[in-house]
Amino acid sequence: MSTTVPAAAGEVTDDLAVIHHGRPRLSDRARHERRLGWLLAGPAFIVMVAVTGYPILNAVWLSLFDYRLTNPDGREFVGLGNYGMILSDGLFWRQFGVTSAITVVTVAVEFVIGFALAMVMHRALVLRRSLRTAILVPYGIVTVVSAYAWQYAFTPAYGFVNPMLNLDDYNWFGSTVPSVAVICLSEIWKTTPFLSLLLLAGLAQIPEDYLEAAKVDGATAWQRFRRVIMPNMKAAIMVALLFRTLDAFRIFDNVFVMTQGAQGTETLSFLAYRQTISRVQIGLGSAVSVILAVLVVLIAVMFVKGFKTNLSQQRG
Amino acid sequence: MTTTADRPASAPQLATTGTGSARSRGGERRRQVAWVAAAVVIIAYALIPVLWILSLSFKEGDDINNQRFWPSALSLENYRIVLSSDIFLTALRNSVGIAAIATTVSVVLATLAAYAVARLEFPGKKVILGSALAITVFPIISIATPLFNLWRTVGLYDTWLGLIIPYLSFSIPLSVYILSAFFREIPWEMEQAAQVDGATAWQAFRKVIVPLAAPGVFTAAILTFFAIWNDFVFGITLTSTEAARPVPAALAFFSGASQFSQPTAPIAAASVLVTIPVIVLVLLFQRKIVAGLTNGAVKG
Amino acid sequence: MAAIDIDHLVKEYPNGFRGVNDVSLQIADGEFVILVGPSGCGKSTLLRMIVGLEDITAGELRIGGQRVNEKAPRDRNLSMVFQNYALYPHLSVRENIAFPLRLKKGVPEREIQQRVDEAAGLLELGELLERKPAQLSGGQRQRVAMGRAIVRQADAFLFDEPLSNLDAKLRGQMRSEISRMQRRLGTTTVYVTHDQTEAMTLGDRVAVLRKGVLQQVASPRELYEQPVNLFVAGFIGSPPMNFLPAHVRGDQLDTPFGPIDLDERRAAAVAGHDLLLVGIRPEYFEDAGMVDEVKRPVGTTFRAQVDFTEWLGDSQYAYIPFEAEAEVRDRLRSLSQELDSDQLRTQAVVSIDAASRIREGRQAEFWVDTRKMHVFDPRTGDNLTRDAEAGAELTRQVQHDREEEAGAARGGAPAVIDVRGQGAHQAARPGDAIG
Repeated sequence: MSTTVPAAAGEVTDDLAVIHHGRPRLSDRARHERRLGWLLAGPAFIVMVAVTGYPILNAVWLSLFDYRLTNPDGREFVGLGNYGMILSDGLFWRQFGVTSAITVVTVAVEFVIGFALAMVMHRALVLRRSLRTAILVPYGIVTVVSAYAWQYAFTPAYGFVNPMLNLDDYNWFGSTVPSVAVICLSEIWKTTPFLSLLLLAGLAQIPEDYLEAAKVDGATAWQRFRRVIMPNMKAAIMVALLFRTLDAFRIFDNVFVMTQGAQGTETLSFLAYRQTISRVQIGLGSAVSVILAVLVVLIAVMFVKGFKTNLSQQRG
Repeated sequence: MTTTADRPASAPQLATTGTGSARSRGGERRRQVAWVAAAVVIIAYALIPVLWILSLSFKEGDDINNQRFWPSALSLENYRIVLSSDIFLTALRNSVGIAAIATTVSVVLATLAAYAVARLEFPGKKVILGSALAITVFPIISIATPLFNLWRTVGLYDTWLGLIIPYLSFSIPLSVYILSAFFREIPWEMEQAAQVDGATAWQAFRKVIVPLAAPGVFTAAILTFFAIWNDFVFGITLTSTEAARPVPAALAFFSGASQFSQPTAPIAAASVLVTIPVIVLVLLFQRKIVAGLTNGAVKG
Repeated sequence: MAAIDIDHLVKEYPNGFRGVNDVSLQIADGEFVILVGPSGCGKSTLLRMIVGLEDITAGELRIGGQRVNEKAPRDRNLSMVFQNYALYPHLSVRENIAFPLRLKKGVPEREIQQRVDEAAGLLELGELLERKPAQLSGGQRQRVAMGRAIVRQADAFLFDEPLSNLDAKLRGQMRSEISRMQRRLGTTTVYVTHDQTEAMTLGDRVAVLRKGVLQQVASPRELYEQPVNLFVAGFIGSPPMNFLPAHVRGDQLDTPFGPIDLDERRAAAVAGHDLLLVGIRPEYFEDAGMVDEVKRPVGTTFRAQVDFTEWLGDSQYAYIPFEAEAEVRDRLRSLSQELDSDQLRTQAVVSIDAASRIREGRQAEFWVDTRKMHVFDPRTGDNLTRDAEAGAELTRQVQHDREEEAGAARGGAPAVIDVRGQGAHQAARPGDAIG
């Protein structure tokens, strides 16, 4: 940092040049600003890109090979063969289905609960502090711990849920649907607070006047919510849903702890992990990783586009 | 819903609609009760799973299998097992050390970068922001597996550094977003005034900007710590022994005191122990965390 | 303390737009100069170029005779009061004021405290020293910002619309406080504002800018009475000067309000022109019934339909619509837009005696004092009838008064200040005046 401050007696501008409008050609000031910009941002940029850029490119490269770690000599270029194999495999599509189902269910439920939480946090004057503190506990807790808590609660041998629901020794982890349901519960519990805090931020930005004006205009509580609150929170809702959807699609920890992918609960992230780490099928695993990444990017793009058109329709 | 008396009640999901003369004292009281009830339900929602794992951690012997929520007697046996287990203790040491180092480095780098991004004009700024965004969107697992290969060849597999580096790259974007939102809120005139008052670039940054951004930096540090403390994917893919395995990963492979007893209760005890730092931070800095999360996301 | 020499300064943006275009202005040591103009005229940019927050594209800036173009703000030894005061929220009032001193190496703590206390005493901030800026009112913040500016003993003070965030009453108080402080300290001051009153009351000289080009630099009186062009004439004064279309008929001007006689000097000045604009300030009009017989001959009377009147207690305005050909209408409309107002119809605003019983919607007889009117060329905007010598004399008088005042305020002998009769000569090429 100190290198940006030249020792030359005051003849060189070394200030943090502050720009309002445009700027003339390339003044001393601008040059210093450029240099300072990269000096400050450079280290972070290198750390971000060096560690992610290479692995990503490496994954793309390796996904073109038939390559097992246990048999390095048998490495063989297969082009898009791995992708063909994966995409024509029924198992992949099943896992895609499970992942999508988890994503849709959790995000939908979280949105409803999260909105309710945000409303209460925004409006409640009583217990305000306790409320916000409590809500942060699930947010901050380690996902693995959440997974264990929910798993044990639903385990017939020692969980309190079965007696509570009079289910005797019903095995929640004996088949796909109930297993996925418990996985979803843990995911929802852990991540709803984050979503609700994002919505809370949006709520807080709506001026009280709007709601009062709507009241004077005769809007019911529901109409105020639907026609005043929701449209004015578009950005917050979009951000919250986008973040959560991308996150949910990458679900891994809960599945790993609760079922290890058994009973057909394997998700795409888990598949990528299993292929590469457990089965050391580097080529195949990398291809799954790439597919997953592409899907996530696709979701992000669809989201942004879909939300935009949706919003413009709403406006008209 | 007629008057200003029901001002706080515009939350539609609260069953206060149709109370007619909302002005009456009874209505006001009912509303208060409804708010308290809603708040209590939410607090219960947030805390019951935590209480459950806590209660499980105090159970011993047959108590574990009695399917009750509360333990019949408080036993510290599970904590004794966990705290005398090398696996857990080394994992805890790994987690604390790695999280502390990674958080510190990450926040320092992110603060500098966020300042540059928020305040300076230089070519390539968009590239930096773009790659930060790409990293937050990219699935961790898609990085973890190639990193697993890479680390094995360069010898970083199963080391602290091998975890710290990816933690940095995944936590910096988050901090940059949070912090640049904070920096943007600082009026431009602050730096200009400092310059006119005789400050160098470094002095303006350190004496004016950093103190003003300190709450933001602190918040970013807490959120970064949470993210790193919570990591599981890198923890299990990039480690294989106690040398670097952090607690969440160790928990997943934890097998109790002996191979024969169910590790359920000891795992619960270990879970409680890793949750304690989170609860302490939340209790102390609730307001800052909420502000940091909401600020960065909406404006960033 | 130092003189500031602005020598053909240019600020050009990458898109080729010139925010400040070839501005030259000599500010003498101890002088109080106002930069004024409608929004976007480049006044703030010019100030920021002086202080070093904005790069200079071309030209030279000298402070105390030394070129400072390349110097960083911190090396120019100037102090500035920002529009939003820019107090450091994390520092107490005391530390805010002390901040510039703490940045200097080797100022002993005792001296810092002493200088802060002095500044605080001057600005009556004594009881507020341990507070944080958030706990202060707008006026108090303003005073702290001034304290920070004076503690540095800078060569010059720069103010960037410092009063625009205060309410009207407080603005009046702070205006006199700034004026008092500047007289007392005798520090060269450059002050940017868009406020008429501040411009007229505070400055020794006022520089009027338009689209980055300096129009006229002169004492407020000279600007008011001898503006160089249509723009300055329209900008200075409130309500603004009325511009009536006129055609030359011998030694008379034919206006919508009847013919106006021209004296010899004016007749010569307008000879050879056809369409002109006559500029008459609202207060040169009067209800004809209220005018002394003695005064009547120096003006002309006319009858006109009054659109409406505004009675303000101590004064009264009447609005008189008039017809104008398209060319004049367009010209006046674009002028009004440029001056940040948005007058849609061609009408004259006249100031009449508050006791006048002139009624809305009726014909009434008005008298207009034609001695002080000006005649402008609508194409170039030039003031054809400006009396440069009379103007210069006005500025000289003001300077003389100020020197006496300043001497008295400092309690010593009148300071010797460079002769500055340049006001009249500095009128920048009026030829640019028409866009």
